[in-house]
Amino acid sequence: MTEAILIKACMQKDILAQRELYDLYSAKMLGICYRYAYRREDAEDMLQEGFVKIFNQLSTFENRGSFEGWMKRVIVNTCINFLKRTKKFNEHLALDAAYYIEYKEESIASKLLGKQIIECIRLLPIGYRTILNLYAIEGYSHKEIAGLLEIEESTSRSQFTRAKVALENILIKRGIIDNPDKKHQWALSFRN
Amino acid sequence: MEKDKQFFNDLEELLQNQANNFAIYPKDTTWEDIKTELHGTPKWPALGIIFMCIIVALTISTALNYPPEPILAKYKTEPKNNSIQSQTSNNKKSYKTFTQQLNTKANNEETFAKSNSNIPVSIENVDNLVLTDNELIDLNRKTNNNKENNIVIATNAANSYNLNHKQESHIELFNETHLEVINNLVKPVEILKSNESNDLNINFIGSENNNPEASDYLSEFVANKYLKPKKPSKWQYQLYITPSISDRILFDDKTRIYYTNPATSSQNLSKNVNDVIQYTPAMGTEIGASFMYKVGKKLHLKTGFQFNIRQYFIDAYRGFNTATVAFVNNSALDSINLISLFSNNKNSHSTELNNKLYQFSIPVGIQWDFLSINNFGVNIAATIQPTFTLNKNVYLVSTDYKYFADGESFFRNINLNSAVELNFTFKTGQKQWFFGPQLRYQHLPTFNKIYPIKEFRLDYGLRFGFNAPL
Repeated sequence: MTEAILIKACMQKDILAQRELYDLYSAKMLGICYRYAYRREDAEDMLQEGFVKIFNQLSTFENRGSFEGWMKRVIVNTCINFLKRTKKFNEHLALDAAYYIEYKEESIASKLLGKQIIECIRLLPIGYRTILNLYAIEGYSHKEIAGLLEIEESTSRSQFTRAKVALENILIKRGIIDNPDKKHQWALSFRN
Repeated sequence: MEKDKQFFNDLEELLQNQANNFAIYPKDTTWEDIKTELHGTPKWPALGIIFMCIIVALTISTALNYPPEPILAKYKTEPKNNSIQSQTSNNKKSYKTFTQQLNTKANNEETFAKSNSNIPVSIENVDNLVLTDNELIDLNRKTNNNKENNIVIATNAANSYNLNHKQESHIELFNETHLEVINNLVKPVEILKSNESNDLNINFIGSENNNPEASDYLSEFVANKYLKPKKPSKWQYQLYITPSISDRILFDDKTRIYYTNPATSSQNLSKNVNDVIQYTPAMGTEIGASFMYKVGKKLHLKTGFQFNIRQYFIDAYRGFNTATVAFVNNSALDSINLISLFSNNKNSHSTELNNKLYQFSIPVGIQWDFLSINNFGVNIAATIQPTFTLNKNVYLVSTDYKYFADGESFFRNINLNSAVELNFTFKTGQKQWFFGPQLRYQHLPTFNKIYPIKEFRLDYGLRFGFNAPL
């Protein structure tokens, strides 16, 4: 009810309602942008671009799914377009390099699991990271990813597999998960 | 293999759980950038003020310079050749005879104030006054746009005649006797016009004053024939600024209570609305220009235009709801629902709502100078001010006093204010400076008659400015 009022007010270009909507969702949306962005500043730019799209395209929201889900899709599309436009997506970082990336003090000091995992994802090469984000977190299919990134579906699959292996190694190296022999156990321990 | 598959499924689930709850708070500037992109750069209110100041300045400068200031020539006439000297000498006798006659006549005209070196007079019908000798033609070319109102007094009779004859000029054609006098005026002359008034000073330059009678004659001639004594102007203009505190008071017309079922109503009418709605008065400003006309020894009528900024802050709290405005319509209870983003409920984040208005008004009133001692004085003034509001940035409270909503749909654009002021004055030169307290009251409610909670605004401030004659 209240969200519907807010959306209606935003559609009427009510600046206070827009601010309210932004305050409600900006932190979560910036979290998404941060997973895709190369730098924090890029994430802020993605967020800005994404919210402008959200406010301008509110009329296209048809109340079929959740409003937050719709916002996430707009933000993710904005992130992908941003990466394509700034050619960050084409940057190549050798997979091996991921194993020897220097970890930032801030990341190590972080006590929050979510934050640690996000920082590990951000250590991946941008191509791996994007596909991992889209498939494993956002829930896109490989077919959708192939269309979105203009690559072959098989490429998406292979990149995702490599991304998972790379991420696993980073997580182990940082002590977030146990060694590979016990890797089926660690995830269960986190859920508990 | 099965273990690996399970592992990766668990990994994806972990990633989803952690990533979906991950949040970072953006920088404050990000919202400002989004707002700018959506709504453009906010208009700077001062632009309107500057625009008004420019209009005021142009109006006053036009009024002060109308009719256009005459082009006055500063010319030092020196004897250019022997023929002029010779002519002067030859005409000396007849000139003396004539000036004696004129001086006798002038002595009988008490209205004429003269001095041997400097005569202040005012110009009314003269656009251009040129005193020159044989360079008359060049000057005339520069200044003869409006020949009707030009006066040229030539110290060289031949040039004066020639110019008049050839160009059918408006140039004053002196009779023979005049010419005799002027021909003998062979010394530098300059005419200066005061910047602050229409005073015209005719100065005879140089220590060589061979013909004092001729100087007197020329001054008298110009003053008597073309220039009239200056009359003090009854018109004055006034510029002022008034920093002021904007306050307000609410009156709730509670007649709706008689049409409401007390058992089901959420109306909170047992309390005074002024106690329920908390607010903070804020600083506003008035900037204006007036024109005053003296109708009595101490009484002035005044009118002009004024730009006002009036504002106060309502204490509010964030939250979505529906604000209901209930009112009596045709002997029945009616209501309008508005979207509300702010409430009067203190359980959420607090904020302030700025009820800010930009207004243009036309004050019309009187001023009474009831005390005047040397350069100091005291006056009192009162004006009524038809007022037009330029924006509608106002919030109203729902009639149950619980929620705040955009009040644009109920807003009254045209209103009526009145102001009283007490001014302490002191005079420096042409200007009279003043300062003093001012009280301004809005007579009609901010919102229209449908909205039952009547808001009246009140400003109190200190007024600064000056008057000067037009």
